Amino acid sequence: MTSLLEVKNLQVDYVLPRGVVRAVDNVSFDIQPGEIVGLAGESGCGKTTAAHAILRLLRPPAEIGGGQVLFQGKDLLTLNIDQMRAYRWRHISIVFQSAMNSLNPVISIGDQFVDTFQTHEKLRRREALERAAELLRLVGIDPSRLRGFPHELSGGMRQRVVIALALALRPELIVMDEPTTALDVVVQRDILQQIQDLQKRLNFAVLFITHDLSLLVEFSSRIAIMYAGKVAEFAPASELFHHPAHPYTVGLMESFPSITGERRRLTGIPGSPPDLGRPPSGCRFNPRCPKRMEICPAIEPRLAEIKAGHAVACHLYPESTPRAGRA
Amino acid sequence: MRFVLRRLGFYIVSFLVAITLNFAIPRLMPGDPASTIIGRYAQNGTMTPAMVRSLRAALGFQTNANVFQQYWSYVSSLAQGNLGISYSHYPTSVMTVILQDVPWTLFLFGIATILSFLIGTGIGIVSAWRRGGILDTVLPPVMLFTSAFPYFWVALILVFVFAVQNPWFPTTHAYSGSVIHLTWPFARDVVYHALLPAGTIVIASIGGWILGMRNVMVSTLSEDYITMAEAKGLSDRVVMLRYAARNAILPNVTGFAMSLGFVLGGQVLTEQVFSYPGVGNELVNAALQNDYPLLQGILLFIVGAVLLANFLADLVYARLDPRVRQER
Repeated sequence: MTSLLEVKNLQVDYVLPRGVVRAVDNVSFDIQPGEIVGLAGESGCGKTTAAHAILRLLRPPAEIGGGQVLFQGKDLLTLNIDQMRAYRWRHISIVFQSAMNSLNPVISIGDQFVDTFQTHEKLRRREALERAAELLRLVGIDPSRLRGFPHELSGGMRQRVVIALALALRPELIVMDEPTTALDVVVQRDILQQIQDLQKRLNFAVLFITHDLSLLVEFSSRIAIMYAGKVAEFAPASELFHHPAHPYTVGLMESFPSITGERRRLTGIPGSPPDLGRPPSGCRFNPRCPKRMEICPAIEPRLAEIKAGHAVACHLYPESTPRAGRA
Repeated sequence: MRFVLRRLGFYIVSFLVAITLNFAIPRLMPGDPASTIIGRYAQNGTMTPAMVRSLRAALGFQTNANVFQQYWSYVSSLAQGNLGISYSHYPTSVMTVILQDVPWTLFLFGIATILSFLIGTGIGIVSAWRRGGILDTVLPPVMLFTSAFPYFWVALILVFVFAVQNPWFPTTHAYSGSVIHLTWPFARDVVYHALLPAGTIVIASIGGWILGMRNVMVSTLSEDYITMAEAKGLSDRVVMLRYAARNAILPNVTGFAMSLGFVLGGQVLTEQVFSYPGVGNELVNAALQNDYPLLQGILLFIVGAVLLANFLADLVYARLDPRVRQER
């Protein structure tokens, strides 16, 4: 079985006057049909950039420097712009972080559904509106809102509308870029619940991007942890939760309170993410790492499986140390 | 609908205030305009008290009436379209004089302003869309430069180059000869005469439209709904016009309405340079000849035009931006 999406050695550069900043460096992961994969990391670790690269939504100064984005075996990076347009939304849609700003404020909600449908299908306006009404019902919004405008809706309702839009063409994959961060906690729960229900019913795959690891653990089947533009660890959610391997993942886990577990002190991770214009040598996490060894600043670890399905890039695991560097 | 009525009410009140000010200002001046004029007339021969009285009455200064009676007679004659009699065009009524000038000004500056707005906004949209392209690199500095040109200076240069050095265009007036007749050759002649003054307006004002549109558009393009529109697979044209320009044009529309309002005020200096028979020229003549009724009449017309243009702008704005339409 081919993966639904396979990102291979993806590289994204920001070409800035002070030099090239590699925001996404050699990132690889895969998503199977109907699977929810989480992508987690601190702000600025490159997770949003990686997601935008999948749909080729990056604008200068960001550039895709290399790698492959295989969607059902087809490399999206080799398509011309018209071919790419046909993939957008039809096969991969995206829900942005800011519910407030994802909808065009000056055209009606109905029209924003209609143009989506009519771009990809030959459909009369009336039929498009009927389907839009159905989609709104699906996310629990009254279809009469189609005649309304975005400013008449609350943040949570807007994000529901955006989710309904994302579902419009029944794509195989929906990229969700922190879809709930701009909302308050209660609404967040509702929306997540809804996404989960819809996902079970319609069986689309999700690439779920967030900095909230605790949320991912209960929500997704596998999780990729990114640090400073690189994947630090990629493992099934429960495996990651019970046996986090990378010291960074351990740190992330300890910076969230557990609702069900015992009380413990939250420690967090000292220091701050590196400047990607001048990343630390060797392992990028080494200046902040509590388990730093001599080899860490010298040689860069590579992402390697330590168990079936559990990959880590850390010298604590001999698999990660490139052969040439091993003693 | 309630929105329209509320705005309309606001503009009617503004207009009433303007009328009142127009009535009050001459009366606040030391002495009164009538005395000035009578003084001038008196230089050409003695005036009998009867002549003075009748002149004062003709000018609307019935000194035996109190200020409220005067105001009432002013407002009621205004309601009948009577703005008094112009001195400089005596005995033509002010209304007739203004109505002769208005079509020329509306024609020339109305069309030039609309053209300048449409072309400028269009270039602004494309320039922002192709950010960093040739258009976008060259235009902003050039436009910043040209938009600093004073109108009369552009007018003088155009006359010098295209009418004096190379006599391709007429130097003055709105048409050849002295009779207006509604024929095609005459219409062509009018357009021919209008080209240089209209060019002046376009050259001197287009930079503002381009820069205004471009700058707002550039910031609109970084909004999330633009990225979302792209992600939806919409064509470039739809994203550029329906998503970006549709939002970015709002401030420019306000500016456009304001400048349409001032069209009737005429480009005083441009009309002077081209001796164009419009409102601006008339305003200067009226001021030079102490033609107070005409001055007052023109000012009232300009105020009316500005208010009307703003009202229209409100309507258009409400049409373009649903957030303004909200009825509370």
